[in-house]
Amino acid sequence: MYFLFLMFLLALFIFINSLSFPYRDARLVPVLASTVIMAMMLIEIIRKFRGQVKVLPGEEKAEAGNKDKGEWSKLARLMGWVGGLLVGIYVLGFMFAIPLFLLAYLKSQGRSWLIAVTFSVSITATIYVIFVIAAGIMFPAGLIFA
Amino acid sequence: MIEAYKEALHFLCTPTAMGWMLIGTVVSIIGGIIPGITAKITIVLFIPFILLFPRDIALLILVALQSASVTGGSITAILINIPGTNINAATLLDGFPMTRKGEGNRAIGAAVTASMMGGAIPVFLALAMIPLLLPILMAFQAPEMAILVIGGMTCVAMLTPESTTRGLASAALGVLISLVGYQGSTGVSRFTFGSMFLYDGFSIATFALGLFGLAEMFDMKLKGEKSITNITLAQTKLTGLAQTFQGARDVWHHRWLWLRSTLIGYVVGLIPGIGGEVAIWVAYAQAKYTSKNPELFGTGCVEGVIAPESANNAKESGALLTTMAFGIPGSGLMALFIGAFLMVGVVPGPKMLTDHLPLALTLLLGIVICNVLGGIICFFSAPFLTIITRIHMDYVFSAILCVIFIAAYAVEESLLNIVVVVGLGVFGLIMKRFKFSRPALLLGFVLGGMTELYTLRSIRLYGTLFFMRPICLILIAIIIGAFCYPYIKRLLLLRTQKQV
Amino acid sequence: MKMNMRKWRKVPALVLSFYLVVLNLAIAKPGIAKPVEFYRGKVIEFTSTAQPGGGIYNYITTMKPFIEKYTGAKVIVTIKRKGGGLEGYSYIYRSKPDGLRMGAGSSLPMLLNYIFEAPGLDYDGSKFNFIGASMPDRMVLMVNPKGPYQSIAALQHAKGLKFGVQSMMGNISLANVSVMHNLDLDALQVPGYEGGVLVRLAVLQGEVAACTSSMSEALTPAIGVKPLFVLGTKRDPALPDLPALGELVKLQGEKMILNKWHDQLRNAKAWFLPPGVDKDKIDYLREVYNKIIKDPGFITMSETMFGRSFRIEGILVPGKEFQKEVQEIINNKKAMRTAFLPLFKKYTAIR
Repeated sequence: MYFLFLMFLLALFIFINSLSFPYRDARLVPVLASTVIMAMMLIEIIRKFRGQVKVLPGEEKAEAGNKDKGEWSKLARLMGWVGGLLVGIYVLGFMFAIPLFLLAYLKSQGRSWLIAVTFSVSITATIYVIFVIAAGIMFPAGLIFA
Repeated sequence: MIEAYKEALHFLCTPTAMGWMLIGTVVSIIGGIIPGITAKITIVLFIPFILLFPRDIALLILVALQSASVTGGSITAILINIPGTNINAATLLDGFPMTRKGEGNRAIGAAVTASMMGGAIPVFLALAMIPLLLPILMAFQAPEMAILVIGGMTCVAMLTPESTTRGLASAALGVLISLVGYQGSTGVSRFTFGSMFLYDGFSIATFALGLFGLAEMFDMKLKGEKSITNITLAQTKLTGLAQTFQGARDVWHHRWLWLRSTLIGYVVGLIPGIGGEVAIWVAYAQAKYTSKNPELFGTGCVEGVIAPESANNAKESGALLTTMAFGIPGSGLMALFIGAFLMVGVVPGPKMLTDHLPLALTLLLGIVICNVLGGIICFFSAPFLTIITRIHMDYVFSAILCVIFIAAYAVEESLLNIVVVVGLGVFGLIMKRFKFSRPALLLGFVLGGMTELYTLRSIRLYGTLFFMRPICLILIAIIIGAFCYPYIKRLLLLRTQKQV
Repeated sequence: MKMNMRKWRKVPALVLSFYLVVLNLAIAKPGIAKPVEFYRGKVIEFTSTAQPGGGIYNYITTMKPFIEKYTGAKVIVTIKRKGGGLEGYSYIYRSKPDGLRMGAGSSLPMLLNYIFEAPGLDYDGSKFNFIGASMPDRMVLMVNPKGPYQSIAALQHAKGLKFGVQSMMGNISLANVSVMHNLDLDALQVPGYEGGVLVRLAVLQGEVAACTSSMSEALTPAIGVKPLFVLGTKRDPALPDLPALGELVKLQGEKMILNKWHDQLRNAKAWFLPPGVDKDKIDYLREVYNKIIKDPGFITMSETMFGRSFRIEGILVPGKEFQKEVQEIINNKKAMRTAFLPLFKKYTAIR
């Protein structure tokens, strides 16, 4: 239900924003599309209030998942790793952040040092060969090494 | 003409030509497989060296570099739910579910066979179609393009059988996201909030990486999946190459579907300005509409792999023909080709087919050979590549996360794009949980901008009744017919059952 | 008391030495080498404001080996192409003015963004330092060779003409509205085409009556449209047989001025540095550019890359000359805004 409301509010925001564009040609499609979203979300919300909406397979579980603290903490841990990699790339650059991330992640999942190191080195080397040497993509050096 | 064919074939059969085609095809496949590296990048990297080669070899290498990239891209779409190229997006819908069911090899077999034949066989139509080509090009103006693209948008309906309201909302959201950026025709910056990063909007690759690739990885990790394939080897009927061959047999079994999809892709490829994105979705939609089991689409149905993969390779053949015959780039990639042609002293256009007919035939037949080579390489590599789907999720997740981040950076050369991809990944996860259609969002995103562009242009040129033209009316009739066909079919079936 | 005269004789010498040391310290700038030594072994960041495969990128690809040859530096190419190059121009503008950061872009769009204050503008176009420019293209009106508009008179007699264009306020739009205004055409430009090639296709299809294009595109025989005239008062050496608008029609007053501007409003592939770079480095790089454009290897490579002759007069413009040209355009900024902004609104089919 919260997601439906959020979508509705997002569409409303876009609708209001679009009305400020100076030309009809710039307004037309955003206004139409946001109206469609608002209308569809309204229909869904009304149906839910009336109890008419057919529960789609998996949706019960999704709704339940919202209340399941276990799922939230899993998601938070996952986002932590993703965020950590992102920060690592920003600070250290791709070529340092990636092997460190791989090593840290595999170790946190209980893998042995040998496997973790071998895997990290191989993946990093493969990435380096394909993206840096072959494709010539220049990765930024990271805050520390810039 | 026969002499020109002989000359072309003779050249193509030389060890030098075959060797370079093989190298170009392998590079093309690798470029297609790896997200973030497209045929455009591989070709741009090659162009500075073009003058080191004799003219014919240089152009042949170019053709090879683009021929098999889409075939390679289908592998990534099938195995890890990330389209290797933009026009592999529709393959995700059924390709990845097939992998999850332990049928990855079969999906690859079907995709690769359909691609190979879809890219190779229309070339033989090419020369026969040249007299028709100019009238087609001249006839397809802004109103016809607008109706074609709107027709593509109606495919949303078949992507959201469970909930039409959520599907429409997803598509509309996709359309809105496609409008982010500077609208050149009016000079208005929409939803950029003053950011240069958003000035050109988002790319399809960014969308696909986040909404599908990353979202799927998150979902599998949260569910505690041990690997991509959740069926053990013991539970699958066929494995390895046997399963890959089954995929090839599926294409023969659905040969009329393959033919229709190839024609759709080829004709769309001929028309400049319409991207392959329209072709693949229209092909997918017609596959679903004409299928005996439309309810299986989206759950791992091989027809849902055959249709878009036939169309996307055929599209590139069509685009090359338009480029060579008229000097009009049929796609962004073909604009690079025109530059390359000029560099080696060949002017694309009608004269190319008279003054340089052997060269034109060499390139067209080169596509055939490269598609076949690419198909064979991918076909026999499939059992090795599908091993990734059985590796433990810890390794797969961490490695693919790194590749996604790199691809996200490579696409826009900006670290901010990685943040966008992560955001889309989370959003994709939420959408999946709440049963909002991500394919509909992607379709809306892909076609939304084009729909606005052509519709507004048509209105500016011809007024609001721009569609009152013969070809437009025919297209509208086809779209309505295709839309109503399943309902009419159901109605007739019910009537027949009642009579019985 | 006898003074120690030897001791005292040393004083002037000491004073003179002290003075010379102080003088040297004052005038010598520690660490500043001459430009020719400065660039040797250094890394130059050369930013392309367009994507790989396009004209600007090809221009950089052609220049790169020769810059390395004549400066001894290594050139690394980076790409900042968002916003039609706005990102790149802004990036170069804000770069450290150490002489090692430079870029290439289309000069006219860069200037027009500045003159018409495009959304997202983040630089002052009058402050770039131009090292050199290549292929300065003027604008040409193109029509369908098999269509009904083979002369100016035919265009002037027609009603409800449509011209194709990509965006409302670019260099193509500028040329379109100039033609419509100067010839008093009953015409509108229809924006929204995705590229010059598709606009020219629309001309061939009959969807639009005409379009303007750069000279380079007029020289490409591929697409089949026909140039009718070049905008401005004089002919262009690249196409000497093509008459200028000023020759075909007698324009007066503000229309004459508008047309005359087009002699200068040339779109070149320009090499430029950010503001604040030392003058001696700019002069040195301009010398390097002058050497490059005389190098037979560069001429051959350019001709191959761009498919046109690089031996005609004016196709390669030295930096000092181009800087003057740009300055003249900038000096007309207010007049151009006054003239063109209303014309964009009047002649563009958007609501």
